[in-house]
Amino acid sequence: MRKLALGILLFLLVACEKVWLPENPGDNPIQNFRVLWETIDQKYAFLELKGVRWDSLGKHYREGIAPNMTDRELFTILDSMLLHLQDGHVNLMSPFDLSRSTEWYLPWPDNYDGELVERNYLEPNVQQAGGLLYLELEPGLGYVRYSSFSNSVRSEQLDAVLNYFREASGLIIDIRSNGGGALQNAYTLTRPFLGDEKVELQREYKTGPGWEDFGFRSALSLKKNNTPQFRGKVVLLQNRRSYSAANTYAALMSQISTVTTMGDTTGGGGGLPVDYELPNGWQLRYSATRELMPDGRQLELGIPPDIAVRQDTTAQLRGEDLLIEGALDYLR
Amino acid sequence: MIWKKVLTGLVLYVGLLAPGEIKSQHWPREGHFFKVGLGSGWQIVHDQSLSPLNYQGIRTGLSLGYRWQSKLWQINFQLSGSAGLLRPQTPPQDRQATLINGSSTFGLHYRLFRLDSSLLWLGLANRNRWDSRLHSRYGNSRHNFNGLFSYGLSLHLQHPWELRLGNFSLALGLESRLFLPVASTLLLPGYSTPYVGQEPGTSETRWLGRFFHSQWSSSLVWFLKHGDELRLSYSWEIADVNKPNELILGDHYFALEIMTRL
Repeated sequence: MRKLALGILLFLLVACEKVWLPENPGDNPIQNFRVLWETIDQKYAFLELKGVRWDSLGKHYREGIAPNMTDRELFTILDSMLLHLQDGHVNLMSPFDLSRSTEWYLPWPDNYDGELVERNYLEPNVQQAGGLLYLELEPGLGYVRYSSFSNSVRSEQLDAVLNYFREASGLIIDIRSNGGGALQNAYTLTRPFLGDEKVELQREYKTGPGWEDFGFRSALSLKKNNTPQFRGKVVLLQNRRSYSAANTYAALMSQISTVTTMGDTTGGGGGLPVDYELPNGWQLRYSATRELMPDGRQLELGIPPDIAVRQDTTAQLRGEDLLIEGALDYLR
Repeated sequence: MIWKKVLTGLVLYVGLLAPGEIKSQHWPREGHFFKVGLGSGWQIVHDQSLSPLNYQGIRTGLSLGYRWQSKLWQINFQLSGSAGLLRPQTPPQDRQATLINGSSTFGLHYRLFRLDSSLLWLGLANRNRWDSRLHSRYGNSRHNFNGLFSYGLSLHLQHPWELRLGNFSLALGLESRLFLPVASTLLLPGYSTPYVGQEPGTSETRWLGRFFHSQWSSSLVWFLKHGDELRLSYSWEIADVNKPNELILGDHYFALEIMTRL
């Protein structure tokens, strides 16, 4: 009797996991499609804001899914469906391809020619401190180029740049075509310009599968710290490719009274991207939160400039960057 | 279905350990004891905030414990830490989650009854476990975790027996403990992000019904000289939380422990 009891008990122990655990979704086109569609439907932050008809899109693209289709055929369909989100934070990564949207910047003018700026404005006097390129363009007017928020800026490097411009009356900060990176760098580069002001952002987190199920809200509030303060006027140059952390930086800087934003509306990217995976191991990245200005505007739609300026072909042929020239005119 | 399984297991388990004759001069085990153990186990986790797939793998760890027992009272305390690697249950298994686990258990028991040489204790217990899973591919959501800080009732059975092989006999003991919490404070990832600000996305206390967490452990005890013990222990722990994302965690753990009388 005891042996029987022991046997049954061992069976229960071995079999116990199966009582609770759900089956793994099968690695087939139908299940991979379902997981991707449901994940975006339930967890993506901007379906309502962007007016995406996700249900209709799901039905439309589901018709193209067949059990025996190849991985590349499946990827093409999933890629096409995701591109409707027009979100640079949405990616599908497979071993053979990467799905990425260009619709948030390609239809707009670039307004930035890196080679032109380097040849005609930066060289030969430019200096570099960490991720910051800087020089004095004319007496009393400085220029700082920050090409990626992934490039680190240590405090002593930032202090060196600020000390270099301590007598300047104006400063141009150029974040055009800065695709983002670490938000912490955005906060670090905001503080020197705060003076006695305070800037704020709010981040809302999804709490459920409904498109507008946002409940938790965290607030970011920045004040000056021990960083040297720049007292002059500042022009922030931005374009459509200023994205993600650069977009957040524009949102923060635009709240400071001494800062004027110039150029084009930034590209957006106002949601924290997170990762997930499909049953076949492909990695899905999507925006899972939404960030808001103190007045409730969503950062995902981009930060419009105070002064809209566009580069034109004639100026480009002359070797001029109209945004830098416009900023210099404004600061003189 | 779940409760039927649990109850069936419980009944069979009590039946299996029906009280027997006192076989050992080592019994009962009163006094102060210090315990140290090394072990390894198997974890399987289904967490919708990590993946639609179940992840599983081996973890290895160290535990330290203390026990005081008198005729009527018993106090247990144990701290454990372990690390391991989890991979998806189905191919491709080209990514992994590094598992860091920490746990503690506290129990205060009163001897409910003694039947022959077997002792059944009933008490209050607190079982805490924290599992961090760091995904090798993810960015902002790379840190997946669960914190379960549960409080409830615990049944503890101590049963001596004797192994006989011909003329050879060995005094052994069997101990088993079943923990059934009635409330738990949960720290879990949020619905779509692991953290909300700097805090775990979900942090709340729930009553039984809105979570399930249980631990069942057994030890085969070999009595050594001077009142020390060598123990081969097995524990099975399960947790089931359905919100904000479905989390089901199953954990089988074997340990070799030395318990020293202080």
